[in-house]
Amino acid sequence: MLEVIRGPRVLLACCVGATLGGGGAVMEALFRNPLADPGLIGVSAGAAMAAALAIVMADAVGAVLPLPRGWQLPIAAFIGGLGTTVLVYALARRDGRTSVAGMLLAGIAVNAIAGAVTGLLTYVSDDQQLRQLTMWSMGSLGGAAPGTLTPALMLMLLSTLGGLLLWRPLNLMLLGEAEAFHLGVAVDRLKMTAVVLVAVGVGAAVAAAGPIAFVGLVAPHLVRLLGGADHRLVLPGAALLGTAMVCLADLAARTLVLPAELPVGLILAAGGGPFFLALLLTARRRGDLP
Amino acid sequence: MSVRLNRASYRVRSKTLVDDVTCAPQRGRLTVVLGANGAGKSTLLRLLAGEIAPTDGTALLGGRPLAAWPAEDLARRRAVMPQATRPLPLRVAEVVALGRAPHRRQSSAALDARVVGEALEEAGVAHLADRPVASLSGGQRQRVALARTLAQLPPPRARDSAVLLLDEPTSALDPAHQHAVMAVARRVAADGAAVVAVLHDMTLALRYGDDAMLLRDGRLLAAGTADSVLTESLLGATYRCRVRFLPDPVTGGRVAVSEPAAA
Repeated sequence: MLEVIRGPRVLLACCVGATLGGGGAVMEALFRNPLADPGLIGVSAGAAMAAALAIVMADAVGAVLPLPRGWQLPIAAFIGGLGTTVLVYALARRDGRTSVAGMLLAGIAVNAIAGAVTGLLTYVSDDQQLRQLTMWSMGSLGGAAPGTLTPALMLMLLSTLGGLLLWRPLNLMLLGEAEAFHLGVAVDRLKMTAVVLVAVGVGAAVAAAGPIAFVGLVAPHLVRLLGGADHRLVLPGAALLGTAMVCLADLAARTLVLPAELPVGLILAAGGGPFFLALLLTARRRGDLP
Repeated sequence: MSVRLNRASYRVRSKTLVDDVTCAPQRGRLTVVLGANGAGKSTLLRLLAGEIAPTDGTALLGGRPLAAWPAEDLARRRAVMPQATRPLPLRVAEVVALGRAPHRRQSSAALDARVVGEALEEAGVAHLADRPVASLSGGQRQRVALARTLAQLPPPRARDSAVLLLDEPTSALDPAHQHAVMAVARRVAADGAAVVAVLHDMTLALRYGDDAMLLRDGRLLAAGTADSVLTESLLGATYRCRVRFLPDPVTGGRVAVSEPAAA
């Protein structure tokens, strides 16, 4: 049982946590905005929209993606996440340059549109589909179809390790975009590399486990509160902390209401939210925050 | 190796920010750039830095278009000092050490540490080395930017192929530190680098400039040695106001004063 059920599940939890935590740190550094998280570039919203399509219009999607049972939803989610990110990136490009503010705004707009489509699909879904949609959107580490797990894990590993290698240019980005260029960073190439890495990793994570919010935002924040702004520390720290958060949340999800199982996203928000708030208040009392 | 603009223009949509400028800041000399607000000084500096490419004409370093230089190779030869370092949650010494980034393949940890130490001393911020940048004043952060820029430059013996660009390096500084920063700029020029400084203070320009460029409405109004270019009439035309020089009886230098054009 350990090898067949628990092993893959814990492995998935680790990879999802590392990808979301590390990806969040990369996005915050790239956008130089502490509120940036992987969702900002449209990965999660795009994946959710595609997942809703795969659930509500299963026959039509099946005609386009003739895949075995269980593969349709994750593959559709992955393509949806990546496609949305490419769209956001393309919208923010002008004269061969990518504007960070443009990406932020395009991301907000595209997120809203994808959210509207998801909402529409939810509205027209029947009871059975509605339940499936709701469960999917709360995230679960237990639902990954056999066979889809290995490619998802590989992509997440690639994304996390690739992100770690970006610590030096991301440190220079702290100084500002122009300053990073003055110090030898090919800024536009860095933006593309980072966005693709995060989109691939988070796309795979969402495809395998549904949208798990919160980790990408909180893990890098916690690491910076504890250890400063140096990305040599922030990137691996956020990945490790994300791993711990998702693993612990999944442990709680599996054991709290035996024999049933809570959605892992719910646990993360319910447990992590108050914890993060307490930490912020403590930091403010100590004077570490403005 | 030197940097030059050949009939370079920079347009954003229908607005021309830099208009048909040809210039080649000389190695071993400090070139000061003066002009009114919006005259194109910062855009000119960004063109020389390779940060933007001219929409017409060319910008070259060592005969090769700046845009064709890999960013890291370029960063080992030219450094740019911004007006100030952002208030980051990093320590001053850490920020200055970021200046060593383009040298990572050629340098060693020991060399980096020595260069960073010297840069902190030279910019007068060694006593702040362990402070978070976010806790410093605007003037202190401007000197941190200078230290980081100095750490990026090649060592003094190898500076004759270096270019140092300074964007209003004294804008937030008290008089003593203004002189200290300009003295550093002069020393870097004496090492052989081409140094370009955008300045607003005419008296500082008179005192420290070897060469000068005057910009008006994106065009080069005059360029040449400081003696030939920094005159009452040309500065008056540059700023569209009256400029007079008064002799300083102690140093034998000159002090520039300005009056409204209508007076």
